[in-house]
Amino acid sequence: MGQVIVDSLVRGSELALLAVGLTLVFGVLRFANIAQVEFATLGAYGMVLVASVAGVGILLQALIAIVAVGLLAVAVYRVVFVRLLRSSAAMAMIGSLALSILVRAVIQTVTGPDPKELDLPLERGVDIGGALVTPTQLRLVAISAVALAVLIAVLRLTPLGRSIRAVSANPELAAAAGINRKRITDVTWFIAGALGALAGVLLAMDTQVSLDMGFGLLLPVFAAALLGGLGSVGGAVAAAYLLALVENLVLKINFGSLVGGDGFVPVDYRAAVGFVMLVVVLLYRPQGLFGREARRA
Amino acid sequence: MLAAEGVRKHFGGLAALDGVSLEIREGEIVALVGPNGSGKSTLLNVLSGFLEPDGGSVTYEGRPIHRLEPWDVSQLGLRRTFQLAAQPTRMSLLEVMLAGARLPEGSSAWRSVFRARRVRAEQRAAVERARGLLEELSLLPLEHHAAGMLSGGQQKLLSLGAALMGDPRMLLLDEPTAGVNPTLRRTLAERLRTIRARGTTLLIVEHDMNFVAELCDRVYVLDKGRVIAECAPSELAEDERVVEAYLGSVRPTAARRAPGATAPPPEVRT
Amino acid sequence: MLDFLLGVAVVAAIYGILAISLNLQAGATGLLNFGLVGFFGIGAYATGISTMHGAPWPLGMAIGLVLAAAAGAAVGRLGRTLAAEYWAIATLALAELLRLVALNTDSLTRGPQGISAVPGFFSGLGPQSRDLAWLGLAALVLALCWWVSQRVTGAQFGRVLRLVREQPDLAASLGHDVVGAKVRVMAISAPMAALAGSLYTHYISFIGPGQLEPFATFLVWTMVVVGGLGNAFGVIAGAAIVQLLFDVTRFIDDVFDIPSENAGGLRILVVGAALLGFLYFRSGGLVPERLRRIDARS
Repeated sequence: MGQVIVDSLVRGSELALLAVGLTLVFGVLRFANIAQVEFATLGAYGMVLVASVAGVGILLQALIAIVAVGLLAVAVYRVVFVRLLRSSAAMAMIGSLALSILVRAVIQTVTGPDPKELDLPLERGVDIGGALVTPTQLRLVAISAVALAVLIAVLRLTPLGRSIRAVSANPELAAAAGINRKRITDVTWFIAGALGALAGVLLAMDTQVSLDMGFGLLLPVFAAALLGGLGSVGGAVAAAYLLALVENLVLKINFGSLVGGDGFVPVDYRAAVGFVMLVVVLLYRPQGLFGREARRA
Repeated sequence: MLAAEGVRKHFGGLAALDGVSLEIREGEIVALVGPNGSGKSTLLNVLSGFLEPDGGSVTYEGRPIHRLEPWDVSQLGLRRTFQLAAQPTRMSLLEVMLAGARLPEGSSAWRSVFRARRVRAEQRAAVERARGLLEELSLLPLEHHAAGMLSGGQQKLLSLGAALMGDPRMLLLDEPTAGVNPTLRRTLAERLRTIRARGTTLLIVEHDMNFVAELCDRVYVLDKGRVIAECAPSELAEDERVVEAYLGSVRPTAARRAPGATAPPPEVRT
Repeated sequence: MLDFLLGVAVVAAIYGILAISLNLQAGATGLLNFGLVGFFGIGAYATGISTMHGAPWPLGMAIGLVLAAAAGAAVGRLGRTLAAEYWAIATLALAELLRLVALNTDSLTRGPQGISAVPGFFSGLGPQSRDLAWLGLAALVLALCWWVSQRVTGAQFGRVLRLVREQPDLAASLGHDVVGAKVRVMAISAPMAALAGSLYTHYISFIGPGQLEPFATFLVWTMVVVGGLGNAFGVIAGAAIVQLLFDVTRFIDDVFDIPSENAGGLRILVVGAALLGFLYFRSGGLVPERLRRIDARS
């Protein structure tokens, strides 16, 4: 059971960092950015790139990659999405799919399709209550928790955060109240890009750097954002950890014992858990698990 | 012909409709007036099946319709138009008019593939009819243009035309004169009278009291989700509750009104 | 060279069928289907699994078409509760689910290695005349799908779809069942995708989970957007152009000095750039949808 909790916290952290970016951008622009998960891929490869050209410590490598991806996200919004959104949210969504494919194609063209490893010292796992945990995983969970806590604090306590939430809740009213929507949107994209890159960097430290590391998370991340109710940051975070827990539990439960035998859900179906939850939730609660009001377009 | 009985509808904690009852008899032209936010559009949405009421009932020609889908209500011969009569940008006026017609042959995918001749024959008659109606609405010269490119007033007229293509027994019109130019307004009143003469009952949400007085037999006044008065148009200005409801709501800032809903401030005259 | 072009043409015609299918959904009705490959997969695996068990090819094909129609109708029904963006994600999820099942149920689908030695057509002919015969067959099926698509979109049925695409409330107010329209257009177009899947499987004698990757859906989207969303003739042209582009770039590592694994990325890059470029600069595509002119005489 301890292992289930540890695994869920690790996976939940990755999903949460990406899901809040998706949900924030949706809140401000009412458009679901499929390319959100590629910010993780870009963050991880960005770190590999920084490591290869600059002799700086690992912390600085990560920081440079994260800020760079954040700025890239703002640029992509300004150059690509402002124009596509002028046609329609549907056009922007197709465009984000194209962008997602393009990002991976560019990386593959430059560095090839093989996974990369960050140059990190090998670590010994520690035993916490019967669960095997590496220090990297502990750091991953802790850093994510801090980052998410800071984000939520900023959104709730600072004038900037309140502006973001105001635009998200009611764009017309926020505009009437004199909130600069353009600046708010830029900031939102920076946060989405930076947190996505952070997820990528942490994932890269825990496992490896690969082309599909972001796209592989697309459906669970969307599932978390939708479960939490698109536009709700707190909901997305809670849903991400919940989804991760359900994923790990489903794999651990002996469903066969219900009929007096042995039968586990094969681990290959891990990704399917998120899909199935996503479809079921979309069907019965399009407003998300925690939402009160349907947010249908 | 159409009756609402104690209709309630809440949005969150807000009671948009708080027990509305009304009845429209066959052959009448009835107006529904009230200040902005009084629940007129919500009521129209409930009557036409676009919203399911939280309580109460709606009956049309003796049968309950408040649980039906909007298209089922429309197929029963009860059609409506919208306050913002947005039209498609990639369909021509003629196409929109045809979409309003009942074309059973062409509506079937199977028959449109394998019975092309019958589909064409059925359509030919509808095209004649559509062009005639467009002519009456002064839209015929634009028949092949994109419907979405029309002015707001023309889009209103087009949605009226499309609704008429289905020979509705009753029409619910949401601010038919908003955005329509004054000359056309005259002809519109004329046209609605002809429609009634041909056997269509009308319920009209309207801000223009001159238009109401000229056209309608009876008026229901809605305020804060309740019917506060039911009278002849000429009695409107004498009713204190009506005057109060209106004067209490008239706001000088035009900016607060939703785009497209640019009705003139209510003018109550005797 | 001729062999190469013939092969491109056959595959382009099969993808043209997929493009017609997607165009009925996305172009005519505004349904963003990001899981089109799922319907392709239903047709492909129905053919693969049936013929593996010795069933004649028409049976496998028919099973695929019926299953796809049912699945399409069910997916269209989801459009009742889901707004456009949510529906798009749901289709992607369902197609991925199907791919996972294909990957993991070895007993049925032979898992990751896929089903090979699916019997092809025209096996009595020489290689070149066989491809020529295949091109004839694929083009015939494509023409048939195009014809159905034209008939359907030209009549009242198509007007309702377009009205659902742009002003669903107006469509409902005029008495048109908005959910029913989505269900019906999915039930018509999904079997077309399954037909393409079945033909493709017979043509290359193989079906595996790798062919159900989301990239296939993406390729068809590129064809439809490049050709002109909403224009059936345009999307067929788009299919031909994009398929040619995708196949010609196969030789890109011969021209440029890059490792062949990296060149795979460059090929994808070309397709992605075409899609984004068209969305950005010419969102109507090469042959944009035009207003349909209805004459009093027609």
